[in-house]
Amino acid sequence: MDCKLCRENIYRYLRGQLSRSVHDVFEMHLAKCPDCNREVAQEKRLSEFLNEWPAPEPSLGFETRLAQRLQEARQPETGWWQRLGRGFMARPVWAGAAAVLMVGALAAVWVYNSQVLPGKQADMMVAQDMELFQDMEVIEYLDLLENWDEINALENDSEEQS
Amino acid sequence: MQKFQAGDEAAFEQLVEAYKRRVLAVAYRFLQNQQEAEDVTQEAFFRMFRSRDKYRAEGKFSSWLFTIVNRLCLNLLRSRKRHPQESLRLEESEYADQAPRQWEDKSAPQAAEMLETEETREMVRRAVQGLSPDERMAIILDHWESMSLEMISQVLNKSVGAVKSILFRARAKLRVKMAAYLSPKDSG
Ligand SMILES: [Zn+2]
Repeated sequence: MDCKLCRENIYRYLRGQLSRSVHDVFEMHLAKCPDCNREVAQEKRLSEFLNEWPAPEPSLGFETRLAQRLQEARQPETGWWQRLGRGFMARPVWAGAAAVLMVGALAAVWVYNSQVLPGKQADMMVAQDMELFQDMEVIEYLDLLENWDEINALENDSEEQS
Repeated sequence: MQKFQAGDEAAFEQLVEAYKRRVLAVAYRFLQNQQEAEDVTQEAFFRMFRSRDKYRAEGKFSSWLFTIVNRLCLNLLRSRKRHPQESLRLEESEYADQAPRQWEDKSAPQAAEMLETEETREMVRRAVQGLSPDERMAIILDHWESMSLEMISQVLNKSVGAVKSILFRARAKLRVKMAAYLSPKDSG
């Protein structure tokens, strides 16, 4: 085994993932190569350092908030307005943007009504407003769609069994 | 998992119980912010439940879940960049490359032994934060979650070979950042 091959296998060596025979050859190389020996020692030490960083404790309200969120997940799919309230509006920035759009939309309705529309067509305007918000919902879920592309791709070439 | 897909609530509860700590730990080490990590954890399980019918049983469940977690974490990073004023504190430590200078200076051979646990954690935290998102997620899943290369490659949507070199690079960077404390104490 040369140094290059040795370095490539340090990782698996430290995890006990080398086959018996490779393991033996690996250690034979270590026994006569101070450089690789030092590499192994440093890798080991790095792992020890990483182990010093513990996983976090959940904060006090975590369990309650998680339970609430899961309760929401269990409820049947709701209308877009409820989803707006749940996910979209939870983010202050989006909520602000939505408020601005809402004001804008109402202003547009008002201007339109006062100029062109008597009575009946106001309903149509409301319907159009709803479409606007549906678009916004689509925007919010774009990230999710992105996820699915990736996840689907990954499932297609997945060889693992559950 | 099939039970979960069939809508078995108890099966879902079990999955959440089994994975919530791990998901939180991954998100926390990646984002290094408790509140954001908890948000990501909740969101991950929410989406997992909502999209359970899209999950196919031939895939490994945990790589599916952690793929969602990874995407949520990346989204959060992006939104931090879009709204830097909301995360000044995080931004400040985002480029942690220069941060460990205070440790690098005292390069006495015994330095490693003198590091208090708290200090070590801080050093590790900063070093990990200085990695690119892929490197960070790879090292988290590899070191702390002991996930296989195959599973990490699914989560990151990269080949196993690519993950190997990401991990190699990540560890090399970490070693540079912690160089003073990895010195040849036990090399003999
Ligand atoms: Zn060698």
